[in-house]
Amino acid sequence: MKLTIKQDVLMGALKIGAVPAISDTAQLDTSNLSLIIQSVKITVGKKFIVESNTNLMAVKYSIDATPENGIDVKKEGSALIPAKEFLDWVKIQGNESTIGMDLNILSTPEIINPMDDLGVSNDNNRFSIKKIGSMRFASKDTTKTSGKWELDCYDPEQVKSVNFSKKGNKHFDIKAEDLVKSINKVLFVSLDKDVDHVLDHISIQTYNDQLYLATTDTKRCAIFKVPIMGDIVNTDSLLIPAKLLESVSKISIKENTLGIYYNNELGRIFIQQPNIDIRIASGEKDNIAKFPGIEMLFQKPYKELSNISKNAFNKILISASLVNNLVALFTFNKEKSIIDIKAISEEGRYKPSVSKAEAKTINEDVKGIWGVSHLTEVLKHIKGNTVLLHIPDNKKSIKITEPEDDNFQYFALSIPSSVYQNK
Amino acid sequence: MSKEITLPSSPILIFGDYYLSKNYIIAVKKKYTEVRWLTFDASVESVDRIRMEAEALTFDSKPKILIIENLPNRKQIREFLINLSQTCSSNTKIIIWDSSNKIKVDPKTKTLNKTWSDFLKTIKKNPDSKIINNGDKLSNKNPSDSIAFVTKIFKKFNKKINNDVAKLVVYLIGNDRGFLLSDIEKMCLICPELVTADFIIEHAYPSSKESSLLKLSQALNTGEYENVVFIIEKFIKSGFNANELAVVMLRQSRWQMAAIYFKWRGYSLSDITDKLIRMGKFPAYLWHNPNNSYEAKKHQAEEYKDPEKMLEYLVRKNGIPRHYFKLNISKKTKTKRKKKSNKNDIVEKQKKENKKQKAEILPHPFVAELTAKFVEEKIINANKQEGIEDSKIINKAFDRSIAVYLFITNKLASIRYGKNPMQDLQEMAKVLTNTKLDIL
Repeated sequence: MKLTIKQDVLMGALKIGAVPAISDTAQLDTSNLSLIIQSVKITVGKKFIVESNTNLMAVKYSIDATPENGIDVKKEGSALIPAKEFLDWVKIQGNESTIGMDLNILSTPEIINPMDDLGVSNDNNRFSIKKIGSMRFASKDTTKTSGKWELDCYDPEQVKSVNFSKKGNKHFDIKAEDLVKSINKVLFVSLDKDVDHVLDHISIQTYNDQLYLATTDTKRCAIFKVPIMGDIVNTDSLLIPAKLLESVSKISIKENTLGIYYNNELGRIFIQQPNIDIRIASGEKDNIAKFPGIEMLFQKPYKELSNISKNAFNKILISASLVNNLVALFTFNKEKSIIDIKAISEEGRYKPSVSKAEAKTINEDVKGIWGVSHLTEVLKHIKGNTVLLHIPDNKKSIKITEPEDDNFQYFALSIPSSVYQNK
Repeated sequence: MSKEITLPSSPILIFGDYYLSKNYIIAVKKKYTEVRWLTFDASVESVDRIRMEAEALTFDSKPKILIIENLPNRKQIREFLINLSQTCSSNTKIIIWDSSNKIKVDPKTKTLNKTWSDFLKTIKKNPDSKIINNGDKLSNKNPSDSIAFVTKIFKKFNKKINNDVAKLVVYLIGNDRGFLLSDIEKMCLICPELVTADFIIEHAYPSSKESSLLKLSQALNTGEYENVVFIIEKFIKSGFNANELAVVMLRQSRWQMAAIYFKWRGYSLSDITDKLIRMGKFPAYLWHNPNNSYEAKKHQAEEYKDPEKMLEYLVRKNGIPRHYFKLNISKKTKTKRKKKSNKNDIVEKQKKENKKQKAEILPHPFVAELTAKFVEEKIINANKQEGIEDSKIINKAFDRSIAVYLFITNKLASIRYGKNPMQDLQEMAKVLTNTKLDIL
């Protein structure tokens, strides 16, 4: 394998194809196969292919290996190269440089047995890694700055390539930039880690022929209506780990359209874009049902309670959060058109605080206890200057929307804290 | 519609031994898998957050169980927990776990101090409350408690164990109730109805280096060279220093020499065992008094453990002039004056020095038994031949023990300064396990 490639082309390919290999899942892997998991597979032929995979995510990026694309192939071949080291070296070479890659193959492959230190017998080479040689890199740019390096290469046959043609059933198509926007709108509600693998996922659900992304931490729920391309092909709900979907949104090419597929047999989501194939883990089937259905929230009648300036609402929430960032008593006074927030802390360090703001409208006298941080966090994701608050008859929750974007809805449940009872 | 789940009573207050309490929590977690478990560190987490998580409504209406651990000794937290357990909805349960062992029972009065006793009383007022006292950590000071605990667990599994073997279990595993419970539970799966010391040494998981090395002692007493070499290799692979293993072998050769000396003096097997157990113990007149029980001797000897008291004893009872002793008690005070800030270091150093000055004692009565048996069976009886007097065999055995001891001493030096410690260890093992005497 021998080629020259423009640094920006190689960097672009690695930023997509090497994502699984440089992810925390791979880099923190301590198994005997970690050298392989942390490597990216480069294949050079008519196409220049960069691929890597973990059990959670597999990505394949391919472009035509032509001089027009900045790639000049001298000898075809394939190798596994340590991804992080390779990416770090390419990154510092600069946009203007051209990188030469030359695979120096050992006459006899070296067998690395990571179990040696543990004294575990490895008679059938089950745990061994085959080192086939080293990749020599040389870079040179227009200012005649150059650099050389060499990295070990492992046998590419040791990695089974993911079959991206087994995509399963198509669900919908979406513009990459719309997916990014939708994920950013709801991601803040999902938990970083959930032992049940439900609350750290994003749910994709359909309701009245519309597609929604939803996240919840059980006390609140963010829902965003996704503008899709064409019709919804399959209305089954999907559950995708939030971090993986976020990674997908980062590596997708913004102008292109993504096709979302679900292979029921494999339990994997396939995402296809020109030149990019992605496969990610899906939430377990049982867990899909554990995620609250959005129709429950849509069917519940909410009345508009108040229309208030985002800045004013934010100010009084921040004042309350100085005393208690978690729970406060909200009083909506219809006659005076004033919202006041009373915060009490049991910590004993701060005296109770009361902050007031004038609302544009208040349609009902209401007293309720809600999470302060639940409301301050959502305001960061509201672009316009006005916030609409809605309330159901039982007053056990509050809905927040923005007049400028009716795709976004946010629900927060009340916290009937005994500290505020009779206040 | 979600199925109804029976929840545990609330609040539950758990205190006492860490591992038993942890085991309890794991068991409850396994039992109630359908609920949402939330864990908070009461010393770090704000009470506002705990309150919010306890009282917030959720979309799925799943019951919640809050584990509030690491209780600080703060009145505010105690009052908060009492209030929280009174105001929580029926769908939220509270487990308060004193994981940092703040609630302690005074061993003398067997009661709690007033602060925690009042806290417990207030919790108890709630008819649904449950208080679990897992007992204090066992300690070396009360070996009978540890023995009783070990015996109780074996009994639970219908196994019998005598006090000496129970003591060996504690020696090997340590005084931690959780470790003891977990290890005994595993051993009970395969152990015979009457638990023997051999079984314990073979299967107990040693918690300290010293107790691990007991396995090497036991192997040496089998007299099987291959077995000893296998154990040495295993120890070296798991990070033991060759010098540590050599010291074990040196001690073994010394004990054998002492046992053969007692044999030469005409003592029986049981007498030799007794003599070995008492070896190095002070004051001799107490330990060698045949009218006292072992426990009584131990209790009486406790008083003389302190070097100053030992000195007093030697001067007053034995009439040895005080100036004969160079016990550096005076040095201790001098050093103290010089380095007041480093008091702990000095005390540690002093303890170490005192330890060095003490005579060698056997780590466990079981070792004495094994050594005496080795001498009797593997050396004396194994070399008996027709027409040869026992006294000749004993004399030869005595010669052997001195030769073995000197060889081992040389090898110990060789290990410390030589280049091939593994070979030295193997040679030491070969000599220690070679019991054939050149009688003719």
